[in-house]
Amino acid sequence: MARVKLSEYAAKSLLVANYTGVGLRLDSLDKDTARLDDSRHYVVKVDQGIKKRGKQGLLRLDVPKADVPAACRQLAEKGFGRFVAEPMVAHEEAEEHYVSFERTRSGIAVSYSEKGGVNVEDNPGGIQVYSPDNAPLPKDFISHVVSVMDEQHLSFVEINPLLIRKDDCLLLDAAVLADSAGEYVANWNENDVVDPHVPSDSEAAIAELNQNSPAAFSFRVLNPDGALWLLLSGGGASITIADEAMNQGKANLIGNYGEYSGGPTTEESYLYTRNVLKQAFTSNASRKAIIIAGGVANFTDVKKTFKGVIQALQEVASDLRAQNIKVFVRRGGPNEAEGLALMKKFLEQNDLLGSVHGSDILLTDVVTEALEYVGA
Amino acid sequence: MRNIADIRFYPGRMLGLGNYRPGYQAILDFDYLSGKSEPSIAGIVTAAGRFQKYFWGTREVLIPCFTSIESAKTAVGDIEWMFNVNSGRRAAQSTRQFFQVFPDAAGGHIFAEDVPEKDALELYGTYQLSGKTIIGPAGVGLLVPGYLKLGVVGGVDYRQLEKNSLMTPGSVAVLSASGGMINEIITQVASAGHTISFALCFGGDRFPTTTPKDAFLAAEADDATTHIVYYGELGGQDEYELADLIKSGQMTKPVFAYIAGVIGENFDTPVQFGHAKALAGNKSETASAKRQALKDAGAAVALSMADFAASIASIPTKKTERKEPPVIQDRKTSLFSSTISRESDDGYEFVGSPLQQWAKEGDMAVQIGAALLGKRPQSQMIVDFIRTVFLLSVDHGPQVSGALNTIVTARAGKGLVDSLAAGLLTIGPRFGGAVSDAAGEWFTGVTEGKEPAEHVESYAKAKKYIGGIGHKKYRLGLPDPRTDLLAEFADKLPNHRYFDYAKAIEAITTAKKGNLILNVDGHIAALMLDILETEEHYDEAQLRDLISADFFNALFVIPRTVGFVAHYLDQKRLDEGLFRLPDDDVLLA
Repeated sequence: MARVKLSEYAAKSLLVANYTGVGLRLDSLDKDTARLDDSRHYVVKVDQGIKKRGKQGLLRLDVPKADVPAACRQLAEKGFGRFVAEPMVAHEEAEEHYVSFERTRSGIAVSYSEKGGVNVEDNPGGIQVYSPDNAPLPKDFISHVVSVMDEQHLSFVEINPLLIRKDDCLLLDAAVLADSAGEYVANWNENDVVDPHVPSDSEAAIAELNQNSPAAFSFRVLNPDGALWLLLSGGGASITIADEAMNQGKANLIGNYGEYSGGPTTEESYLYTRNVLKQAFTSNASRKAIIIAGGVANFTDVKKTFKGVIQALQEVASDLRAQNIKVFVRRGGPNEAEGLALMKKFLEQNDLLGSVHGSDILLTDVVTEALEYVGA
Repeated sequence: MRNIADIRFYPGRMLGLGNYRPGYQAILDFDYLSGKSEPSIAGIVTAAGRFQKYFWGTREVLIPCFTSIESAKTAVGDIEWMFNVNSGRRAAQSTRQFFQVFPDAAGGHIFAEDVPEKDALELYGTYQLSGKTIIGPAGVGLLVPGYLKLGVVGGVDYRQLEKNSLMTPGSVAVLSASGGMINEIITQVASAGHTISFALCFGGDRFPTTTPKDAFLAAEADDATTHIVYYGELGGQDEYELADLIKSGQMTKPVFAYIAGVIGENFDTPVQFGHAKALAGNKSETASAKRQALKDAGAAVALSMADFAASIASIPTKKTERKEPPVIQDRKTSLFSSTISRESDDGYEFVGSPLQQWAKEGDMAVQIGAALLGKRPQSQMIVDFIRTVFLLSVDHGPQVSGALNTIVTARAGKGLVDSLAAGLLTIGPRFGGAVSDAAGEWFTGVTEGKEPAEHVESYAKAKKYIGGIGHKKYRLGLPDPRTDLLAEFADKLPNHRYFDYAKAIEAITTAKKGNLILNVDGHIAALMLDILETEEHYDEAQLRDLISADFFNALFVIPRTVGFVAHYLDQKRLDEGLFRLPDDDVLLA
């Protein structure tokens, strides 16, 4: 439901006809290396959506085929597992241009700078914005990129450096953001999506839940030793609630950001909660609180989702008590009264009650209560 | 986009695209509580059923369902809006279909998240820029209190609608990127004693079709709106456009805003929040920068929800007379539905008229026509045709299978119902039950434009009989006297394409073999199709439904029931005792 980063290998496979680069994975290095050409030398790059790889030492230049696996293993020592090898293209720095294409409301915007390369950001004034019709680049190249963007649902294509030799455009480095909503018609898939972030078990489990449900689930650990663990509903309310901790100067206490929305089932709510709790237990904060909160839902059934949440809390009720974790609740929407009564009864019986509120208090007041409890 | 005042003047009706029971029910609840005389949902396009039951207050009503937008066109009449709940993959395509079929519609709401950016931008270019109003993709739609609820905005539980006085037109416009937060803010606004002029959620996608700017200008143009409450998020540049509107004087009404997402500024790399647009790619897209821009332009920008609630509370309340909505209680879902029969003050009604009325009118053919169609026949022709068919079909001798089984059963000492059932259960593809098959043949042949020769050839190849063709006894040169009477109806019809088709088939089959004539079943089927089409104005979809419901066989079953009863009574009078086949009538092979 958002723009996602494709690997450079996947991006160039879409953008470049007869692309000769090869994607390499740490766990299949020898097999992948076999696809390279014996007679050529290669540039080997970490391919996980990281910018400024040259400055960070995440690439190796002029590597003969035989040395490619070793080069990858060297890069892997920094924690990476995904690489791309491309034939070296000898060129002068003066040849390097910058171009990017972005989908905007008024069409594809082409940003071009005569001077490209690693220092392009030092010269932001050099970048001019054009329409595809008047960009000072070979017409065939522009129309090719624009049509690939449309067919493959790409939202943003950045090529830096770009070499132009007569009518040939060489893409030495490419970064692409694709529209995840278009994946179902495109030639790329979720395996081509890179994320520099290494997910925790809970993050991975929730990402999978999100893939397999019409409802939406997200979960991102912000501070593994956070004191506030958030189970929030709704894209907007979740930000607003997280903002409140920031407003009170306690952003560092937030363990995670995440949200569930779009009418999840009882079972899905259970699975989501279980994974959030799992992550919360590993935090070393001295005092912890769970905040279960959301706005006044339009259509997500409070009772149905709370049943799943309670089921997950029930499973670990004794662990929650052992760690002295309390639960703070604020929620509104369909079946609000029934859902809240169910939750309050459960929390009281299990000695986990921080507070339970409906739409009669402000959405963010529950953050204040939880912050008080964790002693902040 | 359409003026909010125009929507109040003529809210119009909507077509639901896709299946979403709670959402549709909430719209009916809103309509009912607003005091409307009928639901604003005129129909639903879905593969699930012909009708769906919804509550209208405490009683249930049937909302007609259609398998395609085209087939809804004639049945639902004028449509202003679509409420499109199809998935992100199908949203754009179904929206285009909607506007093809209803080019004069005002617009609609696309509920799905996950509509590709490219699709959203194409819809924007094709429809929004030419004056349509499409709310979404994503978000929860548009609500104009008392007049229109287009989407789940305001809630799907009617208690939410009542609690926030969403049937009472007011003066505060609530505009939001977030579906959850619009309802949260509606609750804040209502609990501060205000009523809402309209609430519009343009959604958290990167390219909403109705933009925040459109929504602001709609609020400015709406005379009922005095104040604007706005919820935005980090990501995108929309707030700079809004700030420009205020600075340039295009917006004069006071704006109270909250831009969420300062939490995003606490991290080194940009974090993607819940909505597709909610990622600050650069400094200008952060919540803080956008708050500053709006503040500089003169909007009241809250730094926290508590501030926001306080500023909403500071809006002077306007005295509005609150509508006391009718009470909804004790809703109970029915187990089945009936459209033809009900109890009324005058006793029982059957297809629209009390039974005693039918009796007074005294024409059984009219009543049977009504029974078969589920509504009163419009033409005298169909009544006359039914009468002729019934008079001709009552019996065809004791030798035919059905009569024989009735007779054998009666002679075995069984009663009326058993003997009749034995006869009726004999009716099938080879005896009496070919009228529906024949109707299917003629209908498919005509509507698919199949050449009669090709039709016959395909059956010959498959070694199958054509329904409605062939007779044991009658043949070319020895016509069935009954069919002449039926064929006279063709002369009275302005058009008879099904009958023509059937006769064309007959011309080919009789050339092959003399007894392959268009038989009584084939005549009844063809002429009934023609009469339904030309005199009763049934369209092809309706005819197809009648064929699959086995409607045409009823034209044989009902009169022949009389014949079977006659044979049963005749046997009781004769009382010949148990029937047993003579031995030499059985080949013991």
